[in-house]
Amino acid sequence: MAQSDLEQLLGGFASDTLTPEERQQLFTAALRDQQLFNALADEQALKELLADPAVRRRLLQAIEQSKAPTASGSSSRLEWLRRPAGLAWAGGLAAAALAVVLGTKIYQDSLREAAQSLQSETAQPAVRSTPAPPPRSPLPEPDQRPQERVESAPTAGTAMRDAKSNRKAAPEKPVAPPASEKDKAAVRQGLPKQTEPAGLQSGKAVEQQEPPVAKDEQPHSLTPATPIPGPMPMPQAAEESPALFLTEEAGARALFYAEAPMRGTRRALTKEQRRSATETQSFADRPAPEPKPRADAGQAPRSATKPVRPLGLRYSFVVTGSDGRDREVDAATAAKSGGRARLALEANQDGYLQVLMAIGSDEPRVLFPAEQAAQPFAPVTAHNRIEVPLPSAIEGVPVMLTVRLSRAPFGSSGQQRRTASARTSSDLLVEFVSPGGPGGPQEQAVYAVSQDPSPAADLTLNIPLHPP
Amino acid sequence: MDRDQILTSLRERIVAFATSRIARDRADDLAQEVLVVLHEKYPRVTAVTELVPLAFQILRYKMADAARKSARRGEAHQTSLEDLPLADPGDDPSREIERKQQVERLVKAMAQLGERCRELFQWKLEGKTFPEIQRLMGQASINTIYTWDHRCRKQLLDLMGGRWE
Repeated sequence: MAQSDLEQLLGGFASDTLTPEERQQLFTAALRDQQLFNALADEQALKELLADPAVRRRLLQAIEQSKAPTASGSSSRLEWLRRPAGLAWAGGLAAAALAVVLGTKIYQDSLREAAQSLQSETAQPAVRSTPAPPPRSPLPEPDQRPQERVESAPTAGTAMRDAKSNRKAAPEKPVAPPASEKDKAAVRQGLPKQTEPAGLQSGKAVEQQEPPVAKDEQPHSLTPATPIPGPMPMPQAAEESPALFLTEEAGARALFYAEAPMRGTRRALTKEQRRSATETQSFADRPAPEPKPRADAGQAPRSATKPVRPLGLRYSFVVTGSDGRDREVDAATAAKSGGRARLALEANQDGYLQVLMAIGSDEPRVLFPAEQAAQPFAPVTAHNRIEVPLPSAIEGVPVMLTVRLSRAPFGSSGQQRRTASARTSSDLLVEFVSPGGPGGPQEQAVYAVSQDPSPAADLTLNIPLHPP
Repeated sequence: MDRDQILTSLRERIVAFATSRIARDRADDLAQEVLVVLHEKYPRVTAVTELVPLAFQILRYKMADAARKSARRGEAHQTSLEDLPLADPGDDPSREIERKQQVERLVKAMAQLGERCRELFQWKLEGKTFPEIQRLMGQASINTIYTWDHRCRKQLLDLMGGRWE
């Protein structure tokens, strides 16, 4: 081993880690080399120090402690940044994080825009005239109910969630097949899809659905709804979330249309039914149906776990303008319209309706149905709008209209007349809808939904008409 | 190399070494004292691998003792006898403090070393030989370890101010 190599062994002398051969070589060389001897003599101080086990342990501890923070310390963490590859990685990660943040923001913005466009789309049918829905049988066939529930529109409260989920999942919801053979036949005939707004339909289909406007209506007559701003098709109700029905967050309008059968159900009717639907019928001319209660009315719900739809009523005042078109007005305008105003009523489910009117301090009288009707109430079908002409005698005097809606037939007429002065149900959720902006709803109506979840719940609503 | 040859060589080296640190006459006395100890207390130690480190150890004690005696006598600076403190028959507290400070300096310097030097010293403190350290650090040549150790020791010595004591 060369002399210079022997000096390399000095480190092993202090720590006493030389092999026997190395020791032999080192010490033999030290006896001949004064410089190496001096170096070894100087190393003796360190050797004595390291010979103490306590000092060794302390030094090892110091090394471990300095190793640990270095391994995870800031200097070690930042050391990789000094290398170009580290800088490239850092830049790439920063760019990726920025892209994720921006992407998330853009995605949220697009969702917001989609929700706004969805709202405007849903409000669009309300701008256009809606053909009168064909009158349906007072008591719908029980087998049609599930189909209507399947085809019901979502609520406004779930519109945003549906919009989000639809972007992720399926772009379009599959349309449920028609339940009855008539519906299937209607689909085969190429009738428009139920998801399309009625106002967007073009050609003969729209013209066929446009009912003739009944100009000369008899008092207390039931006329099919004339082209007035109709309700917008609401999004599908969350059937699996019954709690939505009676939450005020959803709003009376949303609750009103919750689980409402879509208009496509009626569009799927046959031509004969459609034609008959457009004919003006006077309710007074029709024989009053036997007030037999519905199969499920007044009874316990079909299923104990199935939630009961909230009973809802929509009313508005309709006035025919000089251009022959009907428009919805507020109560004050209706009160001074000189007998041209009509009270448009629409229930969100099948039931029995009664309208009473008290002029001034007089006793209330039945305004609907006609006085010559056998019963002081009339059956109504869900979302079938009826219009009750208001007498001209109301101008200048305070008038109180009382609307009663129930799933079950009312009791005796005397009882109903006595209850005419009853106050508005305390458990009502009422929402006033006024014409909004270009993208907002174009209707002037009031939605009232009973928050009583019981099947026997009824709805009583007082509508004051004050003189202007 | 027999014991007498080793002791003769040791005397020459000790005198030369001590002369570089203390006065020449004291250096001869120092070398003589070291050899007396080796002769009287370690007559059976004959191997060079045992005699040389033993000589280094005795030399260090003798030099430290001479430095203390010189300071006590006031050779460097004369003081009144009444001002001198009484000798403590126990362990020298100043030496203990020096040793403690030496350890502190060593620990502090060791912590300032680089990662490789710390790892190398760690293996050495754990008693690993250079060939073992070569394998542990995955080096093909042991000269690499020697070079690293030489540089690390030099760095450590610099961090301690140029001397181990």
